[in-house]
Amino acid sequence: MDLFTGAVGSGQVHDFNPGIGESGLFWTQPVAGDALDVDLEDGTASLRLGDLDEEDYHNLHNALVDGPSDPASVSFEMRWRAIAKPMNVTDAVHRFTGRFRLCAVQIEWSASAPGFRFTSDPASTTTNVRSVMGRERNGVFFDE
Amino acid sequence: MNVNHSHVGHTHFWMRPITRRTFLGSAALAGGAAVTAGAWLPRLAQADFDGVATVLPRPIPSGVAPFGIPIHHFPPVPVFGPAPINEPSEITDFNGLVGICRVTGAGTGIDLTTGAQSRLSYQVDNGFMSGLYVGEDGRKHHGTFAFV
Repeated sequence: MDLFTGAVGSGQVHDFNPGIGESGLFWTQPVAGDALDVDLEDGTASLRLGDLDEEDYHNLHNALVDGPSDPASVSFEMRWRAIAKPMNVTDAVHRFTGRFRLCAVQIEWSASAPGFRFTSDPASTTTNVRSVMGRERNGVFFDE
Repeated sequence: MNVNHSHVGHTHFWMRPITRRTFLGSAALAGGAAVTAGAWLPRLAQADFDGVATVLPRPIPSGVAPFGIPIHHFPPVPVFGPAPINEPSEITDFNGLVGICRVTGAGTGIDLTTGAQSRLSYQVDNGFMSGLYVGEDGRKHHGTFAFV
């Protein structure tokens, strides 16, 4: 979750993420299952998390090289809403298959780091670039 | 694939006990199914997903290399093909629900020392994965994960 003083991509000052795992697991952390609500038939999903432990790496390059960081936390509520019909996708190169829908996502979020707090504008002001939701199988489950 | 796996100087979340992670709005969801599956999906057992996973999953085997640094992740855009979407999951050996997004917007930052406020723009690539996975221990588990 990245913050910029200028337009997106210009003057990054905060980069909130949980870090990269020893295995290479990328910015992924376990959360309570009841934080997630999904209705694929209806084409909606929501993810609501509060006071999630993160680190503030301040910029993307520093995050990728696991440079110095500050303890931080984020809270967010985000909603997926399907904007297209379901599509079956199989990618034998990357070995994933599933049924997906392109979506629009809205988010309202906040972040805290030492000496700093951020609060986003209301969810209705979110600009969706590209979002997807669905059900998939990959890895050892790809051929099932 | 070479990936930066060095971690020194601080403690990552998975090395710390889970103490501050809380769910907002559980009351609103309590009693309702966490997953409502349609005709094209089997209904998933909500009880398998309520807790916090204690065994980490493994990363997808491939990804992109921003700044020449390989990572186990595909962003939502650009689409690399051959599929019309990039692999949306961060975890491999996975069978479940997945979502990913890229959104942008704006908000207000506050310097808590001076009280000065500033307008900031944001980009958020977030997502979720919830379902069956093979963990680092080689065993099958159910769990829910946020990509932040």
